Amino acid sequence: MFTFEIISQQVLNGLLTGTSYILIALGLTLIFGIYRMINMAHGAVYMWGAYFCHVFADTIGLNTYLAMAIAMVLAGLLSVGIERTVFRPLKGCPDWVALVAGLGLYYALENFGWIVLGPRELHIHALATQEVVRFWGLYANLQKVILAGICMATLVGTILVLKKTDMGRAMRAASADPEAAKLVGINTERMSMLVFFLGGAFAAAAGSLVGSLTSVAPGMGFRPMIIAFVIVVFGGMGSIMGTVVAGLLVGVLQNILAYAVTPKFAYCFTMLSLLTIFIIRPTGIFGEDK
Amino acid sequence: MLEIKNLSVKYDDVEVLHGVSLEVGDKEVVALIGPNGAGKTTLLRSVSGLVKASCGETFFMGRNLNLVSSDEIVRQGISHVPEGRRVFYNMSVMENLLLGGYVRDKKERKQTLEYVFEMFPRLAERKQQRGGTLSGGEQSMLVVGRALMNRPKLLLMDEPCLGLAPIIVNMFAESINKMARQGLTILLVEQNARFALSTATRGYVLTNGKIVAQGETEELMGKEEEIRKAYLGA
Amino acid sequence: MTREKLVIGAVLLAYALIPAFAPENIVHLMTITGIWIIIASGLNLLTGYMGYVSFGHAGFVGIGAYTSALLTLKFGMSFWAGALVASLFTALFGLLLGVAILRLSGIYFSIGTLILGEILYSIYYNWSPVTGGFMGLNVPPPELALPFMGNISFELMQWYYFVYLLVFLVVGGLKLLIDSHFGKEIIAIRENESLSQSLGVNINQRKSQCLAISCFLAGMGGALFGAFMGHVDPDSFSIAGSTEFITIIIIGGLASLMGPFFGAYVLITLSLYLEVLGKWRMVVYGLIIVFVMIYARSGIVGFLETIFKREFRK
Ligand SMILES: Nc1ncnc2c1ncn2[C@@H]1O[C@H](COP(=O)(O)OP(=O)(O)OP(=O)(O)O)[C@@H](O)[C@H]1O
Ligand SMILES: [Mg+2]
Repeated sequence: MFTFEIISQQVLNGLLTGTSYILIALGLTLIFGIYRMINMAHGAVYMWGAYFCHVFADTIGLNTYLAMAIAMVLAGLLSVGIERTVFRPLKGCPDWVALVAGLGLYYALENFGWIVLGPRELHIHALATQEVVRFWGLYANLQKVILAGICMATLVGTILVLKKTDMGRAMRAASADPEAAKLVGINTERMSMLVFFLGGAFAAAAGSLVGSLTSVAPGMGFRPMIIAFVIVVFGGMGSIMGTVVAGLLVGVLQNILAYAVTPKFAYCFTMLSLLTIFIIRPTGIFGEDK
Repeated sequence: MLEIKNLSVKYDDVEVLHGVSLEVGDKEVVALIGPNGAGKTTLLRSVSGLVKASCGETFFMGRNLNLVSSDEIVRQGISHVPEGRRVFYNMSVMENLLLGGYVRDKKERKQTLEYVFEMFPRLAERKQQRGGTLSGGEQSMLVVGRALMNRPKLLLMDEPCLGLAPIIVNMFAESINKMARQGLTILLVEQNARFALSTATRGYVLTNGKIVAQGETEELMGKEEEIRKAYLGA
Repeated sequence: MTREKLVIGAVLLAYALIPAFAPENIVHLMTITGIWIIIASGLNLLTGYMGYVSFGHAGFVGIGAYTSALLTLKFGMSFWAGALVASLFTALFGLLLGVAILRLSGIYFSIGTLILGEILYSIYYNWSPVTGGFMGLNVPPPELALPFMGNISFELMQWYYFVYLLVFLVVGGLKLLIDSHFGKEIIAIRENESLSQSLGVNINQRKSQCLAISCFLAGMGGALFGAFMGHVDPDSFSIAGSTEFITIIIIGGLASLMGPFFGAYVLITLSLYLEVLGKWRMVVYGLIIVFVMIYARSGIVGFLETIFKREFRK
């Protein structure tokens, strides 16, 4: 039952799933870095991003990837709007307040989704979903490979920007010490808007790609958001490399469990294992000790 | 160059500065001294736009700073060395310095970098080292260097020498004198009255959010008794 | 003191008389609200008084609801025994869970309970042979056989009086608890955990006890809720449900015994009025949560404090 092929196939599937989590978690991580809070409305931005992509790709009929780019911009703006109206007034409050407010906003946006999207499942047309790539005796859906590629490109791009550019340095400075950052002339409010914009855009990219593989529905964002949230925590809150590794691990864990237990309980068991690790090491597997 | 008129600042509902007036002339080095909790840091933070004045005005080269944002204040040429060596720990010395010149364009930054390395050769040796791993003295040099990267017209310094060995303090006094000779205007906050008064030409004494004495350094030295009283809160 | 007693007497009288005047649907809603007050009071003990914000409380409520339903359905227990065992079971769960999850504090505790809430929800949803999956379970109505009075069937009126009897027992019990040594110690834990430990508070024990009591009330509320509605299904016990309980105690005012009353009534009244919004209802509901977080965090009790210039919260 557990042949080498099957295990490697599950690991591959897991890595591919993991990349979509990373894309969502990356936004949360960037936001966490600057804001020191977790944006629980992120899953709704992911869903709306996927919906925007559906509108431009299927209703209007643009090229899928162009539609995705437009969706990323729109979702980025939505995310910035959320920052200005909800999270900015909550700066300096106890952490859990932002958590509750984010959840409230999530429910508002998801339910608004039920009104706009209706109960039917929507699709994002993408040719690549029909094709399969084979290598080393393993196979993968082409769209999943594209998803992984886009995720990796985004990741590398983000890391390069953070390391090499003025803007990236300013973002890191604003998240390390906002006041010192202000004193060298960084507009930290603009940096906050920037990370929310990027976070929203990344979430929309993930939502569109996952939406093209499955479907677009109002409730599609909740679980990926919770998983991404857990990944951010495991990655040590605010560390990008930690997020990447944790994202891949969670993806693989979930796929292996889905195979070894039953798909129904894969989520439950993944969460249970993560909760166990979390209780043992609250600062995450890659975080520093308290 | 800097003119503070009747400034009051509140944290929440508690007023900590009560109508402070202070002036720093062009190319002058002015010391601001006073006991713990007097409000010295608050005064500098208010000039940099980190806290808003509840009353009173601040002018920099004739322009009112009250409604100007902190990044614009930096752009206008005010650098602030904050209290407690706030280097960016996870960034290299080089990155810290480049951030200091964040609002200046890249070409200008390169020249300034040379100037800073000349002023603090130690930083040049440790370009690639992480800010957090520098010694206390080196970190102090780094924050001052970072502030200089902005090519400031006015440099605000908040106890840059706190906790440093006397030799390094002397070296800092020298650097400050050098900067002053090159035409930089400096407002220096110090606990160590002797150090402050040895570098500055004029000084103010702040106690409990009010200016209680001011004047030429020598004059203030002469009033040592009065200052001591102020320190003791009598 | 006498004035306070007078007020309490008047309130009790009002509660006793309400079913005589109010229409049936209002009595029905009040009964549900009563159950919420029990649950929210338990959460308030943990969150308001001890400062541990639980995002998985609806999951605990679910444990009580499912356990009680299963005990009556599959083991033929009476509702009364089932509900009691279910509440105790939930408390025991809390006690055991506490050993692990109370190692976390602050935001980490919130995250831990959030994950736990997801785990519980996904068990309720997926373990169909036992929980009935998304269809849930139908729960038979309770029966009460009293000596001399024969069988009393449990209609709305009986439910109302029974639930509010419990509400006042619970709130009275919590009042004693809060005024006791235990209460002072958990408040000390909220104010400064390490300091209270060095002052000799056995914080681990206190924290587990507090979580267990909170879970006991959650389990009790769950058992009542299932039997009153005649049905349990997973959707009542999701993270959305937990968010709702937190919102109740915040709208009411944290760390006040009156808080859960105010919060629950405000929320239920709101959702009643929001019915007219049709499908927009849940959107507005979510936005209200956001609004409360930004503008009204001190809650109704906090508002009363500023009006009466008196401290009602601890
Ligand atoms: N963020 C803040 N919130 C509330 N009160 C503050 C804040 N920062 C400073 N204070 C108070 O304002 C007063 C002045 O503080 P400030 O830091 O300006 O004093 P200082 O003269 O710089 O003291 P020191 O020599 O110790 O650095 C103090 O009483 C302090 O407690
Ligand atoms: Mg100070």
